[in-house]
Amino acid sequence: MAALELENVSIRIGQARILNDVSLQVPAGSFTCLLGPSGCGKTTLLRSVAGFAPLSAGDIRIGDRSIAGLPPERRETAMVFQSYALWPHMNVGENLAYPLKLRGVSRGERERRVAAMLERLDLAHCAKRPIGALSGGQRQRIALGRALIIDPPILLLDEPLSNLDAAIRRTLRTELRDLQRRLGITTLMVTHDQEEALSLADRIVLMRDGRIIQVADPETLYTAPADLDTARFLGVDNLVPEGGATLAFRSTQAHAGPRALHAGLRRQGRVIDSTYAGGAWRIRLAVAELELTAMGEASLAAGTPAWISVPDHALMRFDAHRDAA
Amino acid sequence: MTPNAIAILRRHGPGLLLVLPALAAIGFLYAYPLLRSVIFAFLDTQGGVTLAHVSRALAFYGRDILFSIGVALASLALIAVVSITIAGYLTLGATPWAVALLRWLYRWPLFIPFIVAAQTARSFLSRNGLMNSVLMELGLLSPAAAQSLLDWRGLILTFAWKQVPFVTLLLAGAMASLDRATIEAARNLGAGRLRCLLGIVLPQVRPNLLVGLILSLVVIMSVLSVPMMIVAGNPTMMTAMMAHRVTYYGDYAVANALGLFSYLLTAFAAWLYLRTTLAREVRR
Repeated sequence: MAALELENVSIRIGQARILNDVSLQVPAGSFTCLLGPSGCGKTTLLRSVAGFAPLSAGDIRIGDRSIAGLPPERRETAMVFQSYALWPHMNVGENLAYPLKLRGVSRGERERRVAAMLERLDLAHCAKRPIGALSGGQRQRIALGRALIIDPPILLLDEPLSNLDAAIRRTLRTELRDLQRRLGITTLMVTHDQEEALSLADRIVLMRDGRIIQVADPETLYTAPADLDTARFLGVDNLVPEGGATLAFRSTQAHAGPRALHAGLRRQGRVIDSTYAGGAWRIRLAVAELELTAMGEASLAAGTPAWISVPDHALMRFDAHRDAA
Repeated sequence: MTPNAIAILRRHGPGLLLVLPALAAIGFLYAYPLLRSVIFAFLDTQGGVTLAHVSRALAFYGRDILFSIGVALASLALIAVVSITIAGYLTLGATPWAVALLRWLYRWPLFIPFIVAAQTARSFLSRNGLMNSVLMELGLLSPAAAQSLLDWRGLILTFAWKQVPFVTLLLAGAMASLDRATIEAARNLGAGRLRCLLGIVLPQVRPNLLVGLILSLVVIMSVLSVPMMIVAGNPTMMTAMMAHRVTYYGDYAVANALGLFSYLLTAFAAWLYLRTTLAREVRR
């Protein structure tokens, strides 16, 4: 059953169409990522669920309740912002307690729940600290706790990890995933980072130009993108025209070397250059009028002949008419 | 000059030269007269120290001092409430055309001189003024019940009318520069617009509100035209009494003593402001 449902949602600002007839069902308990290049409408879609982007047409439902006409404060969605958006005039404990205060929860109950949340976030010692004294990772954890403390039916995450440095981002990613699994809370997250989407989500909604292009689980999306543009966005960097179709593959799944391997696609060319890519060499080859890239165990001198071999399972075929569409 | 002195002059000379005009202006036009007026409030004709002027000022004008304080505080309260309302609506309002209209309208009184504002208030608030005429036309007021508001009420309304745009300008600017996401987070987690204004927006711009109110207090304590034109008899604002003392009696000493109470009042407000903002800084 869909916990959250968008039906023919369109959003226009002036003449610009930000979202174009978008329909989406978010299953209960799922972790769904909205993925796409910047300007594709993914953040607007998330904000429309929270009530910050008014719809030009369509409907949004949580369960069987339409929320499209409700102001943000009555939607019961909990959102975590990219900038954390913690309230600087309140300390950590007060930030966590405020949503409960708004719901008329008694002081004793508030204190109990704030303490439990801080315990869960592993920040029990921070209750009295001002927001300014926290690190970025701690701030984002508090922001997450503030959203979860009201037990919302839907958790909305707007690029929650993109302001953090790489190491903390990896840790928090794991924490986020564990927390989401444990609570079973329906989660909708916006990201432009495909690695993040692939590792966190159990469903990915790929968007482009205000439309949904593909909805799939991470593996399907990665191995069978709906069209060539999607494939390119997901890191498919080699295109080989063949007949009326285009064969596409990732450099990382192709092999370059002095001899051809037994593979679905084999082409001979000349080495343009080799660069070390950690563990292997990334080798650029000129194959007829094409330029292809593949990985090799050793560096190859520029100008020497070499083979590029791509295994069957790494090849994606796109028909010309679908590419044009 | 020793080489050392020349080196110092080379290094600090240009900076000193740039600061000097401002420093001189503050010294001669502000600090010196201020100090002089404070000192003269305590000097008798022979140059001895005396409290006579201060006690005369208290005896003659004690009521006016209290009246001034009362009017100033009431004006500030009104200014605060109206400015917060307008700035809050400009920040959180959901009707774009109403926000645009209000944004365009609210600044106008800023460009109207106090004397014109006082004149307008006179013709608006008097017993036969525009306000009462309109109320009577609408049948909301019987002619017998009509009264003039040209007393403390007129003062409060005029001061507020003039100062609300200024405080609103400061406040709306500060609110606009807040991280919008802090407001959205509050709305998202269940705060209505009023709750959001009082619980999230206002606490973050409190220093700006205080600055606006303190500057307004200074204005209220120094404007002469408004009390002169609006209030006929006693009690009235200290500014009017000081002018009276100087122009009719040439009695600078008592006027200075009265001025002392103005300084004390504004200094007290400034101290309150510094104390609260410093406490905030420490807490961060």
